[in-house]
Amino acid sequence: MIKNNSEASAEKKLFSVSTIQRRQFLQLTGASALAIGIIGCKKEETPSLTPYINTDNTVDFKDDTGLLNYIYALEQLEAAFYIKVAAGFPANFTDLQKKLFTDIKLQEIAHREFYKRFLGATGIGTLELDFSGIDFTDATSVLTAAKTFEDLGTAAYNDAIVRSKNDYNLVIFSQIASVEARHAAVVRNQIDVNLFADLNELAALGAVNADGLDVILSPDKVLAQASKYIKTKLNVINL
Amino acid sequence: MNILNILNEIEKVDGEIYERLSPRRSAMKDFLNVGKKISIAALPLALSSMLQKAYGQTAPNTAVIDALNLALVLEYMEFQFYNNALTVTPNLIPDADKPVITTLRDHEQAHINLLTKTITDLGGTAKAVMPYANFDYTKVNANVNTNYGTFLRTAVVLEDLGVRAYKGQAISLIGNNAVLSAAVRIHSVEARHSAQLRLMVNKLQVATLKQLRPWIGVRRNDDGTAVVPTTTNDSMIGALSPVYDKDSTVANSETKTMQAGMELTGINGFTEITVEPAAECFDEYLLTATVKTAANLFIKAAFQLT
Repeated sequence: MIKNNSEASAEKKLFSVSTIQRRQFLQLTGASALAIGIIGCKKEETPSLTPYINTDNTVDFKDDTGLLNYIYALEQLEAAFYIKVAAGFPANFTDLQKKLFTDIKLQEIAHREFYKRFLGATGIGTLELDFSGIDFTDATSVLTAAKTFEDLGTAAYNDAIVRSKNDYNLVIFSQIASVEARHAAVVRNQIDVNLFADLNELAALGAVNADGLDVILSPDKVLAQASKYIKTKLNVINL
Repeated sequence: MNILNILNEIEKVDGEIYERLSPRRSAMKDFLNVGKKISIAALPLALSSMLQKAYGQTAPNTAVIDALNLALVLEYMEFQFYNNALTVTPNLIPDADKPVITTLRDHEQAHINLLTKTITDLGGTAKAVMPYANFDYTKVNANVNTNYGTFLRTAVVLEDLGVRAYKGQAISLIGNNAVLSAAVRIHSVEARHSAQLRLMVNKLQVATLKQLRPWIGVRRNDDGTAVVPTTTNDSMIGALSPVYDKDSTVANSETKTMQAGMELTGINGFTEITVEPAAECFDEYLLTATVKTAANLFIKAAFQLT
């Protein structure tokens, strides 16, 4: 089922005119099959679009660009957090914990830089963040914060997969969602081995233990929880 | 009005029109051949009904049912594995680890129940329960029921396969948000399982797996150096490579470091992003055919997936 997966064509395809037209077309056909008469018989000129440049940290949820920018903001948050953790681990972190958290830091940096390049000029800028509520010398404080970020990240990704309009973005989100879930399990394991997938405890983020379902949370709810760490004003629209 | 012109125009905005019309290109060709014989007057109606099938939301959708049934087989495989250990060979599991294995077993049971109900609700037929006896869990080592390390390593492979399989089926579920939502939320639970089990294997510090990480990527030697990609996989069992390797036509091995046309190693000048994090930061999907090949490694001959 997965087609057009040529890696090289991804970037140019994502925000291309034809992709946008395709989305509109799919909406159109959903509404009425009669539309085929118009499409088939009357050929309209493709309007020339000026490439969009994001100058004011806009996260516009009218399409996947907003969704990608929203996830990019979360990845900036996670990367910055782990960079700060790894710059001076809490005194009682074990060697294994240092190794795991260093791994996570590097993966989050890779995610952040991936979105930065993927979004290009349509991306938000580098956000100013605020971790003043976290005591980076205290293992409990660090683990609690990491658990919050990873569970929230997993919930955001699961929602983004369902919300994405472009199947290429769906694949990308799904590829990272499981990595964030791995992080969440590992961080939780450091707090208590039996917390790794405690779906009862995660009910507030949308998990359903009886069905074995993980967290899922819409962008407005995620942003409400993440905003206290983000000082830069995000221009969130069409949510 | 020319049907081929219409399809060509649609193809410009929807490159997958032919796939939507029929998953089999040959069937599409058949239709076009039939089309030549249909009178001009009948064409708009025939095309309209064809597009309705391609873009409509009519259920039951066999692609969705097939995707869920494939997932169901993997859930049976995982459930029976954990349940057998808990009920038939309980001495295999250290007491301290029993709550974890119980959680894994219970999640898989919940997934089985949910998938079965979803398939039925969609008008499909759920794959019947596959008992323990249908499976062969000896691929890591025949001592799987007496050696806890083997047991955990086998569980890791089953969960790793589950994560990749759900990812691969997600595309088939586009357009059905309720089902897609359930699938992705099972998918991330399986990823949590995999990470947990990998940590447990790491804790045992068995030779060749001392540096096993909770994330999948380029394997590390026991001294911490990276192993040259594609020669070995995280299970250290060559026969299990279908679980970690690429699909036949897609470069999606778990060791890959290129995503969306971008090389992640050293991305944007970040030299600390070496091959290990570059491979670990993205998980890879697995397409249906390879999932079946990999699953069949754990299914006895008479019950294998075709």
